Amino acid sequence: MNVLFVMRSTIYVRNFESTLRTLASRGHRVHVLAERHLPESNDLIARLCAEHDGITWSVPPPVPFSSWSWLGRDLRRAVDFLRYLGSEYADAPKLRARAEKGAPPFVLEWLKHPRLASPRGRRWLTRVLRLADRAMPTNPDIDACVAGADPDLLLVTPLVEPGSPQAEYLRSARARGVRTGLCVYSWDNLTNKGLIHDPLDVVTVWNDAMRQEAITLHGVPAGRVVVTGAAAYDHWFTWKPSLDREAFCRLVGLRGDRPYLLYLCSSKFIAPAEVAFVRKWVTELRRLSPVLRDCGVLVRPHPQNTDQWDGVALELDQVVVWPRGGANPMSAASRAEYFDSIHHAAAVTGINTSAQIESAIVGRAVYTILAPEFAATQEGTLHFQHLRQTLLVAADFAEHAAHLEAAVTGGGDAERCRRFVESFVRPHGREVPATPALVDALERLGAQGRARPDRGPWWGPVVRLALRPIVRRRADSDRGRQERLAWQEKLRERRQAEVAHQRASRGDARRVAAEARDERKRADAARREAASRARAALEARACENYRRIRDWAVRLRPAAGDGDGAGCPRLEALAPLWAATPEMIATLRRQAAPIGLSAPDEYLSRDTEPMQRLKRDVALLRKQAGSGLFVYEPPDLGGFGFAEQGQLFNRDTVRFFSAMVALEDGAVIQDFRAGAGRRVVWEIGGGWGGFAYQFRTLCPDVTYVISGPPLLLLVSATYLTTLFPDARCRFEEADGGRMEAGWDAADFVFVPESAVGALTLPRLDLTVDLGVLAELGEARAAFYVRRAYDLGSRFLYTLGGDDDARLAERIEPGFWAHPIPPRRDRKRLDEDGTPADPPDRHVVGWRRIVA
Amino acid sequence: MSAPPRIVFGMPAYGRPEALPQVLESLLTQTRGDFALVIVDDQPSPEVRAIVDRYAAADPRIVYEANPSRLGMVGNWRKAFDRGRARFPDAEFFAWVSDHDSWHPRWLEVLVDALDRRPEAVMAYPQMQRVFPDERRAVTRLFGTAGVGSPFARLRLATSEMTAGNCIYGLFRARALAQAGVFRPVLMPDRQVLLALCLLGEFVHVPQVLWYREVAGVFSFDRQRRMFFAGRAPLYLYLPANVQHCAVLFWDFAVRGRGRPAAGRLTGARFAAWQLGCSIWREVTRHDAAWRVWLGRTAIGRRWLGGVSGQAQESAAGMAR
Repeated sequence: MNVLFVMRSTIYVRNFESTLRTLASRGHRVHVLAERHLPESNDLIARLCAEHDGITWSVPPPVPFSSWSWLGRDLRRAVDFLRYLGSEYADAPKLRARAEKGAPPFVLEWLKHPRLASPRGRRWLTRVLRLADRAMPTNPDIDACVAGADPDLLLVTPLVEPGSPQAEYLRSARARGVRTGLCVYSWDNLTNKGLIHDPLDVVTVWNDAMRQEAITLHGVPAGRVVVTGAAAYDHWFTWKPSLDREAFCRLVGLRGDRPYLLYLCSSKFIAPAEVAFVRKWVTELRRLSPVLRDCGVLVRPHPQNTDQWDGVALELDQVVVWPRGGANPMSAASRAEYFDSIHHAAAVTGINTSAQIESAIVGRAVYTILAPEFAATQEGTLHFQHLRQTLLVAADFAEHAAHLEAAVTGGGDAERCRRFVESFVRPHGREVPATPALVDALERLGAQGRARPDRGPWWGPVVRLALRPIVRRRADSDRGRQERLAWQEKLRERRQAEVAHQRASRGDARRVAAEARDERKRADAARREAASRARAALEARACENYRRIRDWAVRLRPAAGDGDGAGCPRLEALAPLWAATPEMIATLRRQAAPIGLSAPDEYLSRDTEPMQRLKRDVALLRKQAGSGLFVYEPPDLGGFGFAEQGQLFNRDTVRFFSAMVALEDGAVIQDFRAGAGRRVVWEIGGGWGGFAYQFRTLCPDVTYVISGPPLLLLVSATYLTTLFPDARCRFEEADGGRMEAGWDAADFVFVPESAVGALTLPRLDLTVDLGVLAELGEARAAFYVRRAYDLGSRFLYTLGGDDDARLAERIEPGFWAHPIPPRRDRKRLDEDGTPADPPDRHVVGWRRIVA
Repeated sequence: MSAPPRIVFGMPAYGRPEALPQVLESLLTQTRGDFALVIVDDQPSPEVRAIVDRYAAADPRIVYEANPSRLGMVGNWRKAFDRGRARFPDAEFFAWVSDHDSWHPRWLEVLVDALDRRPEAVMAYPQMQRVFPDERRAVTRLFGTAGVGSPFARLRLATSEMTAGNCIYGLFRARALAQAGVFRPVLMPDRQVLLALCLLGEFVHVPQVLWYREVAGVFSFDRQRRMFFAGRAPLYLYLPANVQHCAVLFWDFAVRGRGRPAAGRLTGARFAAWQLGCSIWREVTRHDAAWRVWLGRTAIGRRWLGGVSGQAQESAAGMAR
């Protein structure tokens, strides 16, 4: 897919770094069109281009002044301004004043008429202005630019600037039938900027609240809004502190033996004069609370609002302004410092800033005070209401001091942060990153192919004919001449800047490339070394787990009778694992390959037909069901498979993925991911632990019970306890266990099959059979179905190569069978020309009353 | 004494004893238990009675009532609602359930949660699976009006995109449903009541497959006239359905003012007119519109429609066969 991503300037790359990387790593070509901005943002996009062949960047072409474009911008500015006169902005005087400042004179003039100024008049006026805007012609220079790039997909951000200059790119794209999308830049964009004026094929937003804003405030059809989560913040979930607390405090100049409060400054619009407030804030808190008197204070200036801190000395003990010149967290170093400053803080305070969201992600409690000097930019902005979900808001300093004192002495409200993050930043689940969801949405759009070219409404030429005299008159007016001169001046400055940049970059290019190469090498070496250390630690842990679990499993062998798998060739192949060497445990997954679907050797070549089919199956499932349920095979303990973005998948992975998709299609797994409390799952057999690994990764709040022969449990328990080192495990003895008490304190429960008959569970939400029932005799299979029923299993999921009727027949003594329609590949046909069925069928059974 | 139910299921039953056990079990095993099931039987038989008695003996939430004479589908659906309201006047939600489809055990839990989260919504419904005799197909198309504040915009969306046969098996706020007039003696009464509900609130579509619908019978107005009424169908049923709907909406909202306080009489009148306009527009523009089908039967029409609507031509060809 060929993507043209139009950004206002390189500063916007920051929030789409992971998106650009993922698009490139999935083989798409992305060209970013963005004006130069801050040096660090220019460096970021340059770095991305250097690291990924699929990413390129250029500045937009110089577009000469056009009277039509100017009129179009003015019409859209007028509509944007009218929006702020609505009742929802009644309490937002500052936003309203800002919009008025940018409104074209004609609309201000029109609004002097009482009829036009009334709500109905404004609605009518908006409609007329919108119609006129729709009739504006596309700009030939921008048409040429889009035609030159010939994208399959044109994305824009932020689009919602006053007058929406980027709308012209959308119109040029639509005129060519190119699909268009808006990747909403940030959480406040839909409420305190301009409107979305043009139809888009997709609008990606962070969460349901923003989805509602897109629908209600911007009129985007609900079906075109995709909730992805905040891709910009994905990386914060994986950061670890780079310095310990002592070292960090030393670095910034605070005492390491005392807690400190972090004050995060806001942007120029929100808090133009924040220095005096910070001084008052510190003084008041220290006056009101003896606890806070001993705390240090770290003030981080907003990166785009640092001027006010130049030369300011707060002259307060243990109060540090750092970093003085502000630091946009774009590079690894600045991000590490930023993360450390939040991570080590006892509590975080601010007026109204995105950094408060980042603090919630890090898990630090976030506080604010409703300051009269910022009333217009706290309660007076709509997006502040989003923050209220995580912020503890104080009405005055006394209350604020009490909040902070509680945070310093008793820790923050981590649960509040978690809830906020799960609803606002990662609405698909805390463990589900947003970037793949965003890229999936874009890929789905790209896969739709070209749309019918939209060259504007049929009546456009008529309206343009009528408007032509007005356009001419405007262009010849004083304001028109000034506008034209300003535009030309801007173009001239840009040309000069480009020439200067090219001269400088020619000299610097080699040095920059060499530095980047060295940096990459150093980072790679450090990564390799860290990975090697982690691998050694993991293998040592695996050996230790194995020895402990083997002692338990050996005790079960006499009771199991054929616990070595006598009579079952696949299990017999695992018999050497009773006396495994450390090397065998280090490659446990490979040793267990005989009980999986494939062997490591099968993945040496990517070009065989079965392997190509496997890749197609994955692509199809991900396209149809999204990647939210796809869990890669972990590379630890000898994981194998095809590598994709450094992650592995194989036939087992894909089979488990199809099972997860079936559980989603059967509306079962949603309950396990909804955070509605702990659930219990029983897997019959358990295999080598692969499905349990996937299930637990996707649904962490689960007690996962695995039953099987001792040898199989030895494998799965070693595998799972090693990959989930913090999991709490329970190993039942041969006479079965009673789990009424403390069941929710166990993450994994391993039950020998000889104990299944005696096992009792406090509840059972789902029984999983990944084809084991089909391999057992009928009587044994019926026994397991009966046990699932007797244990109270609400659902029984079964999978296998049999037809639906056979699978259903097996579980119907206790469960109503509901076959899940297979996800078919329409391109893969049977001999009779109908789409071929996938190898496995899935059935979800609902518990019967009368069994 | 147990707390009054928050939800009432109304089952207008009509002679499907072979499917009834599975339906009853799918309802009685819901993960939310605070409901009552009112069965109104329009074709009572000993088999149905025996099945219901078997389950009612173990579950006091079931209430059964046999009609002394056939009411027809409209009357029976209406009675299911009325009896539910009469017995459980405090119940907040109501849902019609058939005697042959299946409800996922989480159906109630998920939909109640959806309505609790969205006070502006008057109805929530899930995605569904169509159960054919030899296969099943999930229907993943989404239609909802959540977030659409204007009732006129909701009505426009509903007119063009809603599949009433699926939505009518959603979970309703009982008060809103009563206000909208429940089932009226018109063609496509499900569509009419849903359009009326557009005035009162939003529809939420939950993207989970929680309803399994048996596919049987082909839609036709003749079948509706036959099935919906116990005796002969009234003559006005031969008017276009959208005219009937417009008249009922006008009577309810403009004349009787039943939309208040959400909408006054004038808004109600505009709403009825808007419904007529939208439905006419839909009839004119839909790919399988009657005029296209008719035109597709002629040689000139086929040539003209060539690039316009292959599907309409297919429909026309199908009808001609």
